[in-house]
Amino acid sequence: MSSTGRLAPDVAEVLAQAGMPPARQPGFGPVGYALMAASRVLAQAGAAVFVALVVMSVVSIVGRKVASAPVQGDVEILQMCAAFGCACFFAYCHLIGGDVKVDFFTSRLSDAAVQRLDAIGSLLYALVAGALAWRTLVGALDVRAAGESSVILGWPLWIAQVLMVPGLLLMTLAGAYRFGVHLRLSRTSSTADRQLP
Amino acid sequence: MSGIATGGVIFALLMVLLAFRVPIGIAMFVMGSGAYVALTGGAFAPLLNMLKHVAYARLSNYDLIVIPMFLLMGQFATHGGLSASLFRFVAAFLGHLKGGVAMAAIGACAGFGAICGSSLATAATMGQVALPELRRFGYSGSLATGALAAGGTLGIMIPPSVPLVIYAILTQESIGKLFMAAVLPGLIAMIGYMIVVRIVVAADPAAGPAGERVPWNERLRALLAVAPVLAVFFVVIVGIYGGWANPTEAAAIGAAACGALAVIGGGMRWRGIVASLLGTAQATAMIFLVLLGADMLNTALALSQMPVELAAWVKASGLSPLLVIIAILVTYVALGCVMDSLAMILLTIPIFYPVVMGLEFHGLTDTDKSIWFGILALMVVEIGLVHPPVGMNVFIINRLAGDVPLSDTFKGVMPFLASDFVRIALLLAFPAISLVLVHAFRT
Repeated sequence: MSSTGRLAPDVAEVLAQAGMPPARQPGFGPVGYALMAASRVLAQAGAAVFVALVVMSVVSIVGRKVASAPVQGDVEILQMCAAFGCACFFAYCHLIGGDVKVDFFTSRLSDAAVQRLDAIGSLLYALVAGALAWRTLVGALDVRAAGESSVILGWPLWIAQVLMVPGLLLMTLAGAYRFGVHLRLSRTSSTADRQLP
Repeated sequence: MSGIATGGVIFALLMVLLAFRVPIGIAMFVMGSGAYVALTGGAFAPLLNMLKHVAYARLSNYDLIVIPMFLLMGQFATHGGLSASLFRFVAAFLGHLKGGVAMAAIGACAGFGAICGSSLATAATMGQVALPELRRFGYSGSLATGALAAGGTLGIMIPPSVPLVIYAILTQESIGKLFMAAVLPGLIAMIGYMIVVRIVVAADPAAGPAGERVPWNERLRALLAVAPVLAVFFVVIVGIYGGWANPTEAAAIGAAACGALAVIGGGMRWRGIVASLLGTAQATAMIFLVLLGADMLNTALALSQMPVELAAWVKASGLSPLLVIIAILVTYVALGCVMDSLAMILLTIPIFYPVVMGLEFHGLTDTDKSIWFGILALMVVEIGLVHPPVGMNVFIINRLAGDVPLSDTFKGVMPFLASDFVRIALLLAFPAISLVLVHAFRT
């Protein structure tokens, strides 16, 4: 294992992608762990929304089959809540290093070089997330101005869209924080090229 | 510049970003946005306008909601101890044979694949259950880890399968038909892996000694313990295919059933529930980030006309369809060396699908052709999970085993990989393997 805590090529990332994130993230300070805690809470809340949607769907299906009485507007509720739930997931995934990336061409570079590349990756991540947060907010305000609402329940659509913004903002912060961490680690890590295992 | 040239430039730049470890979804998003600006005359206004609603439109898409639902279902199965009862069940019937415990691990992977749509989760879960048992019976490290790494791929081959859902959405194909079409090839894969275990053990009996014979009353008890799992599978697959529930509803029923099984039968408590929620969050974010990126990239590619031009060019070139599809499959194997299976599907299907649909294979109708190609593509991208150098399943199983050298695991996986290639050749020659069930149960 290297000095920065990066495991052999792939393994830490592969495990994170399989739902087994490492307990500690290399280079994380108090701010990082605070961000991590916030994004864990948000991710759990988002997933809990899906559990609620599962329950609602089952009630709706049973109601439809047994009593011809589905939950009114179940598809609309599902769509609006799912958008919120999914937006809650991204920050957590990025902070634990669970995004898919190609490791093949860089697995033998030095730790410092890999940290520099990951800094670029996280910077782009933050820029994309920031653009999405900003434009989604503007889009939501447009929808509010247009007064659009859902077809069956008449719920205002802009609220469903604006609820995504906090998740996307946290996603931006997660990218920005990891950018800083990778940049710092790139200065302190070994510059020796990795040997073949 | 012609569409094909523009598309080629976009892909070349994308590959540079990917090679530099930029997360795949972000690389696609950045390239897609850049190409969109370039193709709409260099102004940023159209892009900024599109970005206003792209996130909401994607994440609220009714068809896509099936993915987090299936992931939740798989997480409940993972944390609810269902894997252990599946393994006990198959081991009760096969464990006393030579190599039987490894065959049981493969059978249990297939059973777990029937309620879980992800290979990594299947490999990780079954690895934790089966590796200690394989060790107890003295199986060689390479056979034990090789069988589990290969068995893990049954997670996506046997429906429900997240890559098939993505394929269905990209190609407007029916999820129910694709799931039904995957059942038989998935079972053939399982049997093929079991045959490989027998061959390996015949060549080297010490690699896989026989376990204990289990009396019939215990076998029946083990069957009883997995009956609910089989019931969930049938309700979900038959429910979708039979048309009395759409995929999202069926996935919700499956998730609810697995959650109930995990809490009541598997003793899942608070800690397991939290782990399931976080696992769902991570896997969903990982997939949806790539989806968002692919959405941008495909918008730009469609603007460049590249997929249409390429399909027309291939059709006009007079190349033999078999040659074209083999070239596509070889491309997948090559891409599988560096890339994740879902990213491959998202990146290539918009380009390869029109090409394949423009050609003639075995006189298949359009629907049959698109289902057959979906299963074929699934089989080929799935082997990227086990072949070097990336082989994510191999890394996971190797890591769980702890003391087996990585080279042993890769060596152990090779015979299973050979059976994968045989099966792909069979499916290529006989599309009926995927289509017979779809036709038999046509409603």
